[in-house]
Amino acid sequence: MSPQVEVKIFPESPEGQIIDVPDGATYEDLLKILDINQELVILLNNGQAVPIDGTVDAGTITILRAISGG
Amino acid sequence: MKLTSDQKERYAKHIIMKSMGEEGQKLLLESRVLCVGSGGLGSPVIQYLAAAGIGTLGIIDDDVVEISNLQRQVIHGGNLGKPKVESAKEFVERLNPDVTVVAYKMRMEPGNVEELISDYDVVVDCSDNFATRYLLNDACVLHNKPLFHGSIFMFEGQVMTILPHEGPCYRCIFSTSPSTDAARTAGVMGILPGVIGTMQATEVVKYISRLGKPLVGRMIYYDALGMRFDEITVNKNPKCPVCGDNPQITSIDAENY
Repeated sequence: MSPQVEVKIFPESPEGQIIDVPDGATYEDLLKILDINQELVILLNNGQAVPIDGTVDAGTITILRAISGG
Repeated sequence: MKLTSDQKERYAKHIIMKSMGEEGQKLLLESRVLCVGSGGLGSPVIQYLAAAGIGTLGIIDDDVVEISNLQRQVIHGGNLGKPKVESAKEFVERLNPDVTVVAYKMRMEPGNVEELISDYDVVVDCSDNFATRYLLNDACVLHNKPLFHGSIFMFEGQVMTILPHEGPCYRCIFSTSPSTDAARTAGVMGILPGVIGTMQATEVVKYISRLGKPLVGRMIYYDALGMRFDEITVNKNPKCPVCGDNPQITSIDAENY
């Protein structure tokens, strides 16, 4: 059964959206589905940083822009 | 130390709060804080930490004041062309003679970071690039120094307090450096660093005066356009290269930055 995840994207959709991810999909695949450039963001699943090539597990996925300005 | 009558008057609004009192104010006056960067974030951090009576404020920056800085860097007015650390020192000396400013007109680099942070109790990251952020994080984790993180981009900002080995560090979350420092060309709303920098300063004052709950294991994400503050849970990463179970970064090596 394909995992269902809640995805919160900051700042675009912080309230979250439920997405059905294809079975075996990676976080890289998820970013492609969402049309997000993987080089600009970091991903957390239930607060834990996840590798881009890791398989998506059920949970709340947070996608944040990596920013460095000061 | 004993507070003078001038100090009791200057810090009366701190002292009158029972949770802070004279003891909390003394802790601030005895503390040593290193602020890395005296630009957008550094300006409010320096301004409010100086006003709060931080005893010694180290400020490191190799830039000079340019006119395009003044839209957000509120401590540098009237000092065009002057090194930012000198401008910041003048500002602090006008604001609060209790504060000793140590100005470092230089870049923070792998060769000097450990010596620089060793003289301070805590470090505030007001830098403007990923390389310095990773460098500071690693040095602070390796030397067990509290690090107060803030970063900004256009209309958004992030704040987090890093207490090494108690909660996640910067690399636990941002495990690898993005390829670009996009903020350099993207612009920033001038008020934004004021919001984020004052939150960093709040965390520093709380930590030093032993008040409240630090922003550890949580990141505050601020979106000025949506006028939202979101709290994002962030966990320690067992695979973190600097504070994980099997760290690969065990010393400051220039090749890593």
